[in-house]
Amino acid sequence: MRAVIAAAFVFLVAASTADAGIQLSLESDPLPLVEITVVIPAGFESARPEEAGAASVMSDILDGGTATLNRETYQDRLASFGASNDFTLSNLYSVWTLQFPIVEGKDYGALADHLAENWKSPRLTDETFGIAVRKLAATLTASLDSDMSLGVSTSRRWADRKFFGGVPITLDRVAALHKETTAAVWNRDFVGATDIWAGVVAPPESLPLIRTVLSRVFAAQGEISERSKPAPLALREVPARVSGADQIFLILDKPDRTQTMTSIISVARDRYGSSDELAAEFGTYVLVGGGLGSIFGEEIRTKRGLAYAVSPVQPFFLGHPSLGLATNPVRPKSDEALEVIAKLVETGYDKPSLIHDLPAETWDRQWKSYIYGKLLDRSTPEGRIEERMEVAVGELSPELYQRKITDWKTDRDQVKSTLEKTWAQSAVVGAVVGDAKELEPLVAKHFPRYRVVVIPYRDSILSKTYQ
Amino acid sequence: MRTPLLLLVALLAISACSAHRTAGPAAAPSEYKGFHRIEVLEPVAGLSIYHYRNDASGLELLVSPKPGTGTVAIVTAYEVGARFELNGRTGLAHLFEHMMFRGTEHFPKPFETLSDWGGRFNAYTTPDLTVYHELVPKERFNDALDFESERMRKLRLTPEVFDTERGAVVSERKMRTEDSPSGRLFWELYQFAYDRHPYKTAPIGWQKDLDATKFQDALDFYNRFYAPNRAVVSLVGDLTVSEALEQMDRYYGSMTRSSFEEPAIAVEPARQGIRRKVVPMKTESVILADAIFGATYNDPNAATDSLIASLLADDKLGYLSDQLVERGLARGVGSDAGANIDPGLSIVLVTGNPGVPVARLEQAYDSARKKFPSWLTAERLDNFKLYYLAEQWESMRDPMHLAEGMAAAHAATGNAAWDFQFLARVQKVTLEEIRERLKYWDTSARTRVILTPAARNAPLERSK
Repeated sequence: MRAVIAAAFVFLVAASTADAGIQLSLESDPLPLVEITVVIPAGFESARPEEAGAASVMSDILDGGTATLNRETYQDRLASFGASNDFTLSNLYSVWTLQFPIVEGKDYGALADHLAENWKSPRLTDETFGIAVRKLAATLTASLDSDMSLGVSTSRRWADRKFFGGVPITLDRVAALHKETTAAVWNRDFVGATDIWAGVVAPPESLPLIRTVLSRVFAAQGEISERSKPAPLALREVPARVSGADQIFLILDKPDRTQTMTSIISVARDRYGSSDELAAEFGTYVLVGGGLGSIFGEEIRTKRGLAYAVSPVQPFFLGHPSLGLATNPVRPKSDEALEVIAKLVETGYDKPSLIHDLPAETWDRQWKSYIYGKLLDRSTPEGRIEERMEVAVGELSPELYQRKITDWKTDRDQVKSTLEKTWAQSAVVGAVVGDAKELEPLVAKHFPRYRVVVIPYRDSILSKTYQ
Repeated sequence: MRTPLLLLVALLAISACSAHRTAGPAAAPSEYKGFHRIEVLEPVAGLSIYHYRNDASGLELLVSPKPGTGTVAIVTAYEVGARFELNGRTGLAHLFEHMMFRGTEHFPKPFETLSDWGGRFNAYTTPDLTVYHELVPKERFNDALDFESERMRKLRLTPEVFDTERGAVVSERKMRTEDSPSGRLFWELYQFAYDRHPYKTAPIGWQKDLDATKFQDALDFYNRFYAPNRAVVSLVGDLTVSEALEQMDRYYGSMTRSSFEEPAIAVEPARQGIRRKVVPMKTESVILADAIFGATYNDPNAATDSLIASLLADDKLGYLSDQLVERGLARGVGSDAGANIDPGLSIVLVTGNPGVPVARLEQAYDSARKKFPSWLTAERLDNFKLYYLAEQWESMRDPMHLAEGMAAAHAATGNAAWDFQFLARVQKVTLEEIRERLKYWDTSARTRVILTPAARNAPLERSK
């Protein structure tokens, strides 16, 4: 098995992770509303076929009450506090949120108790399990209706299976899921998580109340320590099997579309080192992250009017760097659009001349824009909490977070070199959604080095597609 | 020092129609050159909204200082939306919203310019309004105001840019309306519900009309509707009222009002009964939309309608969620019951689970609607109102959201504190009022459109 940490790259998350316990970060705001965000270092990613989908099923079951309270009673109890509680999953981590207004005379200890019972003893019965499984299957099937989701999700499933050995959540896997396995996954990965991070926006007077809620719900995680400087949680590490030579183009065969949703996603073998982190983020901002002010936005939409949406892909996949774009050219312009996209990908990442050729004035303007954007993010309590959450999940290094934003620095050579080497050690998955007969020759013409795979779109949620 | 509890009490105590108005402190001058103060609103303790008007231009200005944030949210709401469009030129208000990002004399590349200031900008078009918004660092406030004022009257337009932007709009239409099941459903619903009123056609417009619209149409539209006397500027953030007035005078002070003849808006004829239509599309699930003609901004039923829609279709606490989603028939429920200038649609939406046929979903939905009044108790209503309040409050922490709410509310109703008063009215709605209003929901003119899976896309009709 290849080494996960290449010599030139250092794991961000391995640098220093949090001690066991609950990290608490509070942002004061006078509005009498408490907003708590908790990150648990466990997500839906699974390496065991029998566990695929278990966490997703549990995220639905959490809404269904507790061992002693059925759904309606439990939801009524939360509503009596005006409370809203959600639980969402990413690949490697999950986010538990709670929001409620502060009202005189309410016994918030009771609220904490309901939530604690829900977390530790959710209402996992044959009935609730059956309903949750059906809902997850319905969600998977319904994802076929959104072309953007169809292209990007299929690419990610492909990357997960082929480059990381993961087990994508598919209809057949969900159907094979067992209640007992689901319960075991919940208790092992979520209730039993060793360290968690909590960010809160609330009036400062409510801190004792917040401590009560956190310490009761997340009792297994131990002591609460207030921290202004967050530390990364110990997320599960998923080593890559990426060779860097894999370039695949998936054609999701779905005739009768009026647009050709197109995405290109790269996933790198190694993680960013400390000098690459800022360079990669800024490079992505210049190319596509800066929206319609970016190079890709300008070329695809502003100059040519080929598509409405031009957006970057998520910057990390399973903790590994990810580059690329998603866009929706209209069908009659698919040929021109794919030609433009191929050129942009080549000159943006593969042989990155775009960054090198950028006029000095544009470079300076983009840098100022990027830094202003970061400052704007930090200008609201929610923005500051979100930034700390990025540190907790390993998407922003503590070193960069702690440095004053106006002191952040990178240069053109660094950006060019980081994009180039990241792309070179990445697997790339392109995807188009539309009529395969029409799209296959276009993909072959504009992406000649990519291996083309045609997938009937309904098969994208079946395991056989990823064998 | 105010305690959070006092703030809560203060908010709940707001009267439905009397946001506290004061003459204003000395820091907010009653006059500054062409601007004179109309009122100071205090819809929530600790939040002041200073309302000024420039008599020469008719421009309305709202300022709400939030010291220490280091940023300023700038929102401009124009009193023009799809309701002013003519037959054969639908989609023009939205297309023009795109054009507003295509350059002025001193700001030839707005996307780049706005990105320079941090990239937090966007715009949207509704049937009633067009709203532009930016969040900028305090030190770029003057520049941003310079840009906003220049594009109000001195937009630089060319036929080439018009054609390019039309291409982007066509792509947006295909993504949001033609290939999207929910987008298609909403399009069909409004087309089917209305006979004459311009709300019939969603702001994205007909493809045929987008194709037929000429550059001159866009110019005429701009000259007619983009004027200071049809605009509200809202500023929220790290600035004083005096600073705001000084810069507003600098950039907008020389503007004059444009003459404007209010277009005649077709009145929707009254009708009775239910209209029902099934539309086949390439989709995995049946989606059902059930709508009534809803309340206007001035209608006290707006708060009741919003509560009814949420009580029915909130994804956690809504009755339909319990009856349909938790019983394996539906994947999700939702609602849209906001107020409009003219009666819009209050909509309940149910997305079936794949494989659940139309008849089964519709029968279950109708049955649940019948049982809903007996499920709703005074205790449930009180709990739900608190939950509703918390959901709405969350967004008030955001300066941009606050600025948008103020500007849009003022442009649509003449009252910048409308959102706050609406929340206060929601808190006062009684079970009896809901039961009474439900009779209207059940017996007034209703429109139901159901999207159903088909092997191929049934093409969207190009025009009527």
